[in-house]
Amino acid sequence: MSGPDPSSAPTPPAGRVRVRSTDARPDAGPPSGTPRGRPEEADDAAAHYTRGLVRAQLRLGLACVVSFLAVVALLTVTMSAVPALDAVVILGVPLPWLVHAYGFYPVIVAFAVVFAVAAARNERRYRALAEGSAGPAEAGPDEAVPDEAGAP
Amino acid sequence: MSALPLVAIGLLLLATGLIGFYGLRISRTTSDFFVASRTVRPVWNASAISGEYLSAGTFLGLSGLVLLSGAEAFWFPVGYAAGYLLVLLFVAGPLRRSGAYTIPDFVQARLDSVVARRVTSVLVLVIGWLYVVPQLHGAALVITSVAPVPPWVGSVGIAVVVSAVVAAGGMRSITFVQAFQFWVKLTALALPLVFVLMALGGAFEPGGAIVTFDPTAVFPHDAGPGGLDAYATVSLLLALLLGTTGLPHVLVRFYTSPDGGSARRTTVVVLVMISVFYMVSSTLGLVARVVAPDLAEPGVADTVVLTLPTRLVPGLGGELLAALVVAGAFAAFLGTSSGLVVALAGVVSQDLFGGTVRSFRWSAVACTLIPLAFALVTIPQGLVTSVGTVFVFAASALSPVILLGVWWRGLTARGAVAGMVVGSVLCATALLASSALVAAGYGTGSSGATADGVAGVVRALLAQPAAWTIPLATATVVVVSLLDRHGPPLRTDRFLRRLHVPELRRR
Repeated sequence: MSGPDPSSAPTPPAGRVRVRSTDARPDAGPPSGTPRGRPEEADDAAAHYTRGLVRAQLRLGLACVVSFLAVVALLTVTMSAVPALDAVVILGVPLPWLVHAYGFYPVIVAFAVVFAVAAARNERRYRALAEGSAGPAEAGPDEAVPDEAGAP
Repeated sequence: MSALPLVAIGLLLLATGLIGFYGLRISRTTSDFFVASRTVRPVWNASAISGEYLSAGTFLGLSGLVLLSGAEAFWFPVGYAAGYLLVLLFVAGPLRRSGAYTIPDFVQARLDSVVARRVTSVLVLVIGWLYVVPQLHGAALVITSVAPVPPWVGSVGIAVVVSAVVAAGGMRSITFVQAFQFWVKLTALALPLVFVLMALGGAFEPGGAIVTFDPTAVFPHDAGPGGLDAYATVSLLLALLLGTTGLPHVLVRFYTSPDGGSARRTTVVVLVMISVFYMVSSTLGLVARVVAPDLAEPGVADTVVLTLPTRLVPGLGGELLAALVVAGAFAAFLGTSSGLVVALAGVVSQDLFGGTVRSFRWSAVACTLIPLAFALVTIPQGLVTSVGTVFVFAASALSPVILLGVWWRGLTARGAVAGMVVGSVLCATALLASSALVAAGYGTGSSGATADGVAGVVRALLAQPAAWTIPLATATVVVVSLLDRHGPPLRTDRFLRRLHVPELRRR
């Protein structure tokens, strides 16, 4: 919906998508303040659901990052401030060194998977709401970005 | 000196050239050049992203730094991986949906300001060039350890190959090249690691002798997690976490995913891939502390991965493994440099020449020559810390604006420009002042460690500036945006909706 002018994107030949730089070029799209198409007020419901989606995704991201940092802090304090762990030696390496070398990656990957699943769920919920209220044509006013039209 | 490593480098270059050429045959349009037509599949794309993210810093530098200074080195790969987690949480999907080619494209589309675009372009170029320099230094380091040639041969060689491949094939061929190079890099560390561990377990000794060592001497408490400095650790982690978001070659990669959801899935796969690689590289660092304490000197430590196989695995096997490591190291230099040069050439050609394929090619050459010149006149520092410095700068200069641009509708062009200027100037000043102090003998080395009081605090703040430059830059962006009477651009809401609303599924 933003900048790019859907009508200006040439219909891609089969199998290959020619993508022009979209909203980024100063000469592409209308100047600011002259929105194309209907005014936003026309679909209040869609706008409402969109704000809800953005807030949900931001909340999700912040919740993930805060809990991730909490786990990292906990792990760090444990491995650095518990002297007894130094005595635990596995294959010749003290446990704190092993935790530092390997312990953080499973945490990172676990948070990544949780986030990706939850973010996709937020989007499905948004889609269901938007399509239920406004019908498919109104659902994603602008998600059909021109360059995606031809992407498989 | 064995010729095997040179043969390995030759084979790697040949394979890179062939794959690049194959890419050339199928990249014909402008968008093939810039974003591989946005049709790259998640696994391919994830291999390519990992291939360019894993640089000389973690291939050679990580084990070198573990050997040199102990467990604090592990913060770098942990921070790089966690930085990717932040990319996933806050920018992967939205930036893919923005539809822009480069970070400056995104900033201009978001803020409707050519000035903000130009400032962003300059910062992207500085960050990219700074990031290429350690790769070229790494090439110089490796080439001198495998052949009797002057160091510049390695740097110039990498620069020539990178500019040729990028100019010839653009993003599409680079995607294949980097995906290939990721697997080369992983194999080149994992396979030698297996043999090295077998050797440590006694597999190659007639009597099955197991290497014996005193854990408290090899892994002393003070060099381990027990000795960490709270301020330096927090500041470094903050920089690494946020810095990834501001790296030009990381963001440009999301534009090659078909949609926002696949950009997220790709990022999860990338996190798994780079985590595996970092664990392998970290293990080599631990092994290095056991078997190669004699190499624990600045400048030499970064070559430890190259010497481990021949030290532990006897005969031809060891030499073949060493040659494989050398090939992997060159894959690291090539992968990261070519990804950066693609991103930078995209910026230069779009900003200065209207984004044609011809200008992209010339920009690619120019964007390789500038860091090459810089690499040839500077002295290599520790590889992993050089790369870390780039993260500090990116986190201070660009990341606040990108994150706020995606999530805060109140951001204005003036706020963004002010924040980028404040962040980059503060960070650059701190880092330059810190290295001047080190050069003047007030370093953080053995003598500096005992310093305390105000001087010690100032030195710590300058050496790891992220903890104060990032908040100051962010505050500047917010305050100036709020005071800006012009307010955010009128089409902000529409643009933000485009960033966050999922694409229509084709049914």
